[in-house]
Amino acid sequence: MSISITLMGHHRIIAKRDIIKIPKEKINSVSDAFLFLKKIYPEIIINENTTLVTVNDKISHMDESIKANDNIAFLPVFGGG
Amino acid sequence: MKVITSFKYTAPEITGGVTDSILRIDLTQSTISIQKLDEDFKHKYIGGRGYALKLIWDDTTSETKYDSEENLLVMAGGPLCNEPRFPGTGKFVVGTISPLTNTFIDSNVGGFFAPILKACGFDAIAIKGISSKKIILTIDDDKGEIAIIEAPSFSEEIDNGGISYGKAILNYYTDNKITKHIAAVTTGIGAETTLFGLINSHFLDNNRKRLRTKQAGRGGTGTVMRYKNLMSVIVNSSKTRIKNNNPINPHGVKNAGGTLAKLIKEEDPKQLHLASWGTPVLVEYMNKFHILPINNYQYGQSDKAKQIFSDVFLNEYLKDKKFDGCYAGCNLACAKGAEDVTLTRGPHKGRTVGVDGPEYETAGAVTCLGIFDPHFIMEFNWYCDEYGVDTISMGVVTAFFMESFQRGFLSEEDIGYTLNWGDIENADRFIHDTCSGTGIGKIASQGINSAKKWIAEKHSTNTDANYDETLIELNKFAMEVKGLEFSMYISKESLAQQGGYGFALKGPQHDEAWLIFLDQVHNEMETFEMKTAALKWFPLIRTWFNAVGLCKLPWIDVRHPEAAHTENPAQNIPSFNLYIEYLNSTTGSEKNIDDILIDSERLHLLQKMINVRQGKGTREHDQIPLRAMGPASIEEFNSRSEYYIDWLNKNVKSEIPKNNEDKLILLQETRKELYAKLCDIVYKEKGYDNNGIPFSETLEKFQLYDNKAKHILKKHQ
Repeated sequence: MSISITLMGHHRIIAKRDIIKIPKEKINSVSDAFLFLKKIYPEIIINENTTLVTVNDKISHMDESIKANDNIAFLPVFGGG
Repeated sequence: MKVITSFKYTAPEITGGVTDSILRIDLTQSTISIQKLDEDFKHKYIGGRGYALKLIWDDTTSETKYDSEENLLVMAGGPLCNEPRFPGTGKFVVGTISPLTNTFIDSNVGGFFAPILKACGFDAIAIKGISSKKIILTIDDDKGEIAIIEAPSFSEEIDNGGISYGKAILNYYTDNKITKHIAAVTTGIGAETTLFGLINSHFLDNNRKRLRTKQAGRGGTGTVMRYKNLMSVIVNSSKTRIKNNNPINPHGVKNAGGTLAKLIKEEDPKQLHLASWGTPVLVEYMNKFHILPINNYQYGQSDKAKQIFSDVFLNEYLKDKKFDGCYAGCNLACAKGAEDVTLTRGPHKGRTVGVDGPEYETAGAVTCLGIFDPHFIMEFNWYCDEYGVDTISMGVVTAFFMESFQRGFLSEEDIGYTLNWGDIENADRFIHDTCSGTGIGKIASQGINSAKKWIAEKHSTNTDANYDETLIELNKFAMEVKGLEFSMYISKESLAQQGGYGFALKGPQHDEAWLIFLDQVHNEMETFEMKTAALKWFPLIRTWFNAVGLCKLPWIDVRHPEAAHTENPAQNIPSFNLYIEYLNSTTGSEKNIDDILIDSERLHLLQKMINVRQGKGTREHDQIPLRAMGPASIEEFNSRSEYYIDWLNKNVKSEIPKNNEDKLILLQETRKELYAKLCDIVYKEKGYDNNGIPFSETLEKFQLYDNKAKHILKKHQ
């Protein structure tokens, strides 16, 4: 069983992939996924204060618990130009 | 050059960001004069959009159309434009009565034009009348002269090209020695053949060693310019730009600008990466949340969208990775450009050109056609700039004709060829036909509001269909409000954005409000009251940016980390406070955000009154097409049936029908009720009656209840 992190924008370019799958036993919360991502891709810089967290395309937060097959994304906030 | 009229002058000085002078041009009489502004005018109307509004309110009537002699073409920066020590100060607004909407349109555009115009001594230019021959206007601070001159002609190809003519006229004027001290505006033949002509703003980019352009795209301002026989306006001043605004508190300006520039430098690489990728970066995120306007706003997401994600442009076209700002001092620098792009289609096939773009909107306009080809996007970008037509309107008009064809309202015989989603060759052909006013292009060139009536007439003539019933069907997917085509975001799943588009005074352009993410993704506007509050606050703040001569991207698209700890992070108040510091340091005022909201609300109301006067200000004109508030067809419903059924279960108390056709009808009716309720609440919040007309007390509060306003309101009592 696994969870996935969708990578977009410059995260995708740095990682050279658009999705990462992680075994569920390593991840209990969004925060765990965040730390995992930073560990394997230290060049990916994410500021929690200016990052939108989604779980299964719904807005979420760092403390949210994660189930198997959940998909997480860390997105920039933007206001529409 | 053959001078028709010239006027010797000494440029009025700039103090606190303003010269208090407007250049008045009458092209019918060939006269030039300078209007001095009193303190009341300046304080009430601020600059930029505000000046354009007031000038047009005063000098035009309910009978004024875009091609009336008294229609004004106003170009105005604002007190805060022209400051290289603060990011994003190259903006100006073009304001006029629009050919598409028959009411006030303002279109904002970047570049060096307004800063140099200010250096030449003017806060704005107001041009009325129609010249009997093609002319250019030159405003030359170095020579101390303003002149109306017969427009030089170079060749039919050059004269017809918005980009080409700009290059030719600037080389001609400067004897092939163009510098960063000169700028020009032009338009192209597409502004003559269509109602959605744009204005190109040209400036020298020393990095790229060529002229570059930004566009005042929306609403047909270029069509007005072309109709006046005005081929170009050139501004020239060698005055140094640093400190040229003569701010009252230069230290405050430097402090605010330095802090904002530092924020951009630190935060943009962690957020949208606009400085590296430009606005095409939005394609990927809009696709994720079903917001791309694919196939005339039917579908928001496609697997093909990855073919036009921003890294594709970065790798294929923006390889040289230059620092690409549209004005000095802005380190967000998101105005990307590409060199040596070979055109593979159209009248300039085989030519290698520089392309300024693409912006997100241009890429979005191409997805509207079901096309995901990056090279086509680059060519579409260049041709629209050269023809002088708005990429947004061009894309949405083409998409409307495509869908009309595919749903059987138009035949291959009517058009001359087929128009299917994703068919690049015929889409390309249609675009050139429209811009040259050829064949079916003559109809398309008038915009969707006019074209849909022609199509209904054609269809009812060719078949047994009833005209009125046909028009009802076409209206479901005719993506325009007040006559202006929608900008490039699907609003179906965001009631707040539906309001953002419907209530936008100029028509459905997102520069008044972009609330999709807050509403649809963040779910931060669960109640009507929250949506209403946002629909008031954001348009007012955005209005302010257009009044003072500033680009809003450094504020709206670079989030200050401290904003997360404020009451409303989306307002980005910690960044906005830097703008307030910049304002007060430049002008010597002592304003806070509440003062700014009051100033903006005055301008917003004035624009509303122009709409009422021009017959575009009532509830009827704030209504949006069915496609903008939900799925208009069963195919759209079925493409996301699980989502829509879930929505019905959450939002409808009555029993949900069994089959999808009936579910669709229930969904549509519910969405219409919600939008109607939103209208009621928003009008009340804004001080309007239930028909969208401002109360007299609302106008009095902002000193706008003059005799003209009284006369207009009387008609609605």
